Amino acid sequence: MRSSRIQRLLCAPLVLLAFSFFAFLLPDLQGIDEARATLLARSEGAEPTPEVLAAISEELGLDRPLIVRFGDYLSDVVTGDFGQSNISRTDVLPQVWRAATVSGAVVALAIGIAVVLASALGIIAASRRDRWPDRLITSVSRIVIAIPVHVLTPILVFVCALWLDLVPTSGWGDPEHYVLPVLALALGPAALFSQVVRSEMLDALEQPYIRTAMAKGLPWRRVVWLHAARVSLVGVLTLGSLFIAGTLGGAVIAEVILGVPGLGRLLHTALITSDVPMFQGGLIITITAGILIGLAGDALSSLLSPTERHG
Amino acid sequence: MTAPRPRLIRHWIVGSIIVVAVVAATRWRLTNDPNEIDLSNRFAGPSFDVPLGTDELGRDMLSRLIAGGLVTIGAAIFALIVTALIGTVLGTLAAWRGGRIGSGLLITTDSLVAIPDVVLALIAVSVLGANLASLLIAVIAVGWLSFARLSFEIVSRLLVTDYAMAAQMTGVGPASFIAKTLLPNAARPLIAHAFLRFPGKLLLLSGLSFLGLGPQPPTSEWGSMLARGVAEIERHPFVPLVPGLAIVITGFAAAALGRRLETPAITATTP
Repeated sequence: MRSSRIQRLLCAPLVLLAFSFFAFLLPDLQGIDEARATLLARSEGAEPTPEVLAAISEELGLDRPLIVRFGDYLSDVVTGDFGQSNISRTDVLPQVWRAATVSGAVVALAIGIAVVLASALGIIAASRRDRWPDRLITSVSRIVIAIPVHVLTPILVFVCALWLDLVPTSGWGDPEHYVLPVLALALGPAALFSQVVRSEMLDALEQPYIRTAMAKGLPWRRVVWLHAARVSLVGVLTLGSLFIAGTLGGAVIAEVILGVPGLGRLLHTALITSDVPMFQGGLIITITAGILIGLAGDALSSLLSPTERHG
Repeated sequence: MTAPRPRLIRHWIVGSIIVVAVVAATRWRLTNDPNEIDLSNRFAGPSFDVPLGTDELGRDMLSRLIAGGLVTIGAAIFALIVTALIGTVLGTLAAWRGGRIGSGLLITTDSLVAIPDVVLALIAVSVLGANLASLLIAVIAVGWLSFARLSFEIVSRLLVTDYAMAAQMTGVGPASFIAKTLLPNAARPLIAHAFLRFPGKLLLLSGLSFLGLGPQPPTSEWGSMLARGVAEIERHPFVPLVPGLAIVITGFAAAALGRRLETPAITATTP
């Protein structure tokens, strides 16, 4: 296990490099003539002459071999130069960065709430196994797991914003704007995690040390919350860190519906408006974040799990 | 191993009848044309002619739901079968050959799992354009990972069992060993996994299509129906409710089936 973790750490830069190369190739793969696109963006739609096109491709260095161009692109990216947006003609990086902080806050809040909610629900369900609290929590979770973000978000908009009028339907800036996207992203993982906590708790409650604790005369409530719960929390924390990447994907949909100015909406807008530099920048930042979060999750799980710590 | 309970058989019969009825209805045009626009009849309520009412262009919602379901569910099943095949073949081979190929596969799957599937789909759409094919490619590109991982684990565990070793000692060829010893034992958990994965495929496909990245109008598809309905949610909440419920119920049913298949498999493989 440990050696594979180190290998994975070594592979992370390779994966990132591969995706950067892919992002760099995107205009070629899409069959976009970059010189022409740049010119059209600069001259607001005037049709360029062949001489101007040749001049601009020399200026952009498009006549050089692919690998040299990729090297240049990489060194630009590493120094934080992702080029300029074709639409707004401003630097890509500050916009991507602002969007990333918004998405990061929403996703982190959602996963945090999911872990807390799921732990409480899972422990309650397991300690009252097969009685009504367990049945209720388990069946509601199973239904919620089947509701995807693009169905859940409109339901939340309808119930919380239009019907109960608690929060605004869309927009950004005030803390209350966080409510809908965070709920939309938290409920699914919360339902799933609560089932994991429940089954880990049930396993933990079967263990000899729980019987010992019971035999010592500790009250049931104390055994459940102190001894068994501690063990199952390790599982859900690890799971939570693994789920951040998936939630980042769901965030694309929630952000587009709710008008949240995050990374997902940035990528979606860049894709629809064919803003290639913006799309490349957003892509590289998103994938870097995904890989870093994956590695952090690995580190967390090996720190928390006793067998791997000594293994 | 007990015989399937009568209730389970009844579920299968009911399910098959629904599928046959739906296919027959669209094949012989028992429903209205899903793309027929009738602007004088927008947002009509449920009636005998249009049991689920009409949408913002006066199209029959039931017909669109059925036609869209064939696209959405069909695409999800297709993606699932392809991912299951690719994943299982790669996972089995990696476990069988072991060593560097095995760890190579594990590292690849672990690295790619960190990339959000929706983002991979955005990449596919940016290269291939917004249509069903690029959605399928995106879904398949990430979908095989979990099957490879699972079949790798199952086959690795099977290879060290006594009967697998005994089978190999009798000198059977690798093809017959894989087909007769490994696959029959690995099939049940893999099929259960396929059912459990089906909702994910369905939700991803309809989610991407919701974003406008899938089949373009007038093709009806549950995700795009939902997106158009959500635009009208304030005045006509029934319009998005129909495709939304269809997505949730289908996903829930497949997950329930998967759980039922999975349970005995787990008790059988854990000592």
